[in-house]
Amino acid sequence: MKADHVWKKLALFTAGFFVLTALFFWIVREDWSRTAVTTEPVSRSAVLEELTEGREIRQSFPIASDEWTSVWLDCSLWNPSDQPVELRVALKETGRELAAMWVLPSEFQVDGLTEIRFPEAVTGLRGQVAELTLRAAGGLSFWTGTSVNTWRFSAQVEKLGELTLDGNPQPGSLVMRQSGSNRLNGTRWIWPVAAVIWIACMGIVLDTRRRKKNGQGGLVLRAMEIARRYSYLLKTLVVRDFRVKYKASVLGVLWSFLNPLLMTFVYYFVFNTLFHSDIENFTAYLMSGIIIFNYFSEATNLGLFAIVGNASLITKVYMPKFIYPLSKVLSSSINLAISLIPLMAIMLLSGVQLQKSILLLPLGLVFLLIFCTGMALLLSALMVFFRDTQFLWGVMLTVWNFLTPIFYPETIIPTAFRGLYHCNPLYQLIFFVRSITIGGVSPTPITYFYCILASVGTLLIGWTVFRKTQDRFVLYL
Amino acid sequence: MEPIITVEHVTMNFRINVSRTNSLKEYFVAKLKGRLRYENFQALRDVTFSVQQGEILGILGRNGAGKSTLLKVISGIYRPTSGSVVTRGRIAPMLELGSGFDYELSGRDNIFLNGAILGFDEKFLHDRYDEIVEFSELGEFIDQPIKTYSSGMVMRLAFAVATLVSPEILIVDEILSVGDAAFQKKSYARMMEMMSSGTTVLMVSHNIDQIRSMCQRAIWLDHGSLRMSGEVAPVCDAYTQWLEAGGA
Repeated sequence: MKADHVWKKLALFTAGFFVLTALFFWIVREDWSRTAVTTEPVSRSAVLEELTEGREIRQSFPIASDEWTSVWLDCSLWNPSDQPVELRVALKETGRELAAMWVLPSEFQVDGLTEIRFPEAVTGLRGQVAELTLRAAGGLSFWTGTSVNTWRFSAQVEKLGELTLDGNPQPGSLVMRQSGSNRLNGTRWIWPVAAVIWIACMGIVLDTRRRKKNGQGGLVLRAMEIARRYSYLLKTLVVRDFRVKYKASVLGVLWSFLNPLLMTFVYYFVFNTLFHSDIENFTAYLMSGIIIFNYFSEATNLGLFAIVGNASLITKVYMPKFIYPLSKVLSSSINLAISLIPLMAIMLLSGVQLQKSILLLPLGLVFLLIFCTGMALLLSALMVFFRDTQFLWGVMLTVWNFLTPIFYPETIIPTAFRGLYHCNPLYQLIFFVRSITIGGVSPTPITYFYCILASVGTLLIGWTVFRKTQDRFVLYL
Repeated sequence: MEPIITVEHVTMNFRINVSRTNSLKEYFVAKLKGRLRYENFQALRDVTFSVQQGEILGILGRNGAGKSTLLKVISGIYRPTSGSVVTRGRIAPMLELGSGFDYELSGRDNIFLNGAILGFDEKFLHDRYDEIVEFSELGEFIDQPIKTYSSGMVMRLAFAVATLVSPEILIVDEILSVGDAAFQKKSYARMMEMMSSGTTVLMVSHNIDQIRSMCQRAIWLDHGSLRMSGEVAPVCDAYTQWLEAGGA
């Protein structure tokens, strides 16, 4: 390779890399400047005495967000008067008034939390203690509680702050929620991180050139050699898998369109009445979940048999064995790519406004691809040694399907389990894709971190297991 | 000159799981009970030899002497328990005819699949395609799925692919003894052609006359050990004598 040829390539890479970084910066700029904050209300357990003329409830609590925009309250209406309810929010220490509102009792929801928006956002007071004062002419009682979540598990929570009715301390706290947003300067990390990645890439390129000159080996050179030699095989295997899949079916490749549509149709009829009201764009929500889970399920099921099913080849010809699971995942990816077309159609039909965040979709797909490759490597290796993996995996997939919010809203997950849900890699990836397509916003940096962790982490685990065991595959086939 | 195949002190042990655990439950139960027993089977024992480019090496030995294991170690399918194997160039292993085929696909697709498995690229295979089809005598059947082929047709195709891509090293395990007389004659001629053009060939055959007539050198494996190696004639003589004496 001529020297100036290499420099040209490097320059091209650098330019492309920084253009992509700039594009990324532009896409997430607004979405990474703030992050939504909503606090979790305690669950109803007791109700305060009726709030009549001259009585008042005071609840103190710490302010949860930089830019606090609304408060949600839960009250029962007995025989409400048409006198407005008075709400005041002030700083506890100084008594400085932050917001004052009058809400007609008829504006309260009969059952559940009602959002009361502030006339003006309360900014820059996060962490300070505020006091909410409620006065009404009668007919309503506010709910209180002492724990979060009563669904099987409940966690006692500390009182938000002092709660008094006419100056008398009351047990528990008001069932209330704060909504607002925190300032987030997520974008400031983009350029430094990009620079670090670029420097690392340059380092690898220069090191590889030096090794090549000195005739040394090295991981990158070996990988390049394998890629050069076997890329055509990979392509052939992918095309073969895809062709064999739809062979002898009348509609052929059309099934890649039809399958997600029909599945969505079925799920829609089953779950529409249950969850429709809770989810915006239920159809698109459902379909995106189904498509991603289908991909995961197909890639892992094919990957499971990637080594065992190619036993006749593996015991007769040498080639890098990871090519088999990888080819299975890639041929499923073709399917995924095709099923994105009906998804886009459904999204546009159901009135989802596409935002620039949709440009992040390739990134989401790369995360998915890496994650599924890791799983396929792991499963194909396990399958060689334990043939029961296939039966176990069938059950696991069903469990995984129910544990991932595909057809139900995330909000039905009890708060006590939210943390566990974040440990589900598939949840993170589906959340990411839904956020950029249906939500129209880029997720916050922490979600990117989770997605990278979920995908690259899974790949590393899968690869390590595969690499450690691959020499023994032939002995067990 | 540096040899094209160097086999140094290769030992291949197979750990045979006597308790035959094939499921997770059995495995863990056996492990907990301490009954996870293994037996060692030594298929190759400290084998050392090398092959120069263009050489035709015959491998002799009785059934179970380790010939096939040795070929699999050289092709990279098995990793030796100890010792090392260094090869330079592409290896086309013909350990079993038709093993790299997908029976659902057409003959045409299989030529490319099989070629790709051997590590050749699309352009190279396109250039050789016509020649391969012609040699295999498949004609219009080339676009039919292989599952509709007779075994002779599969064999012809496999032989055509493995020999016409001109690999640097060709490994032949007992395949010249199959097929009808006409095909045997044709494949024999093709093999001779390859040998004269500098391809290194390793061949296993129980037909001693075939080894004598085609090979220049031979090695003799007995119970996994290298018993003798050298010029083809003395090795074959010693082997035949040993066989006649009872071969134990």
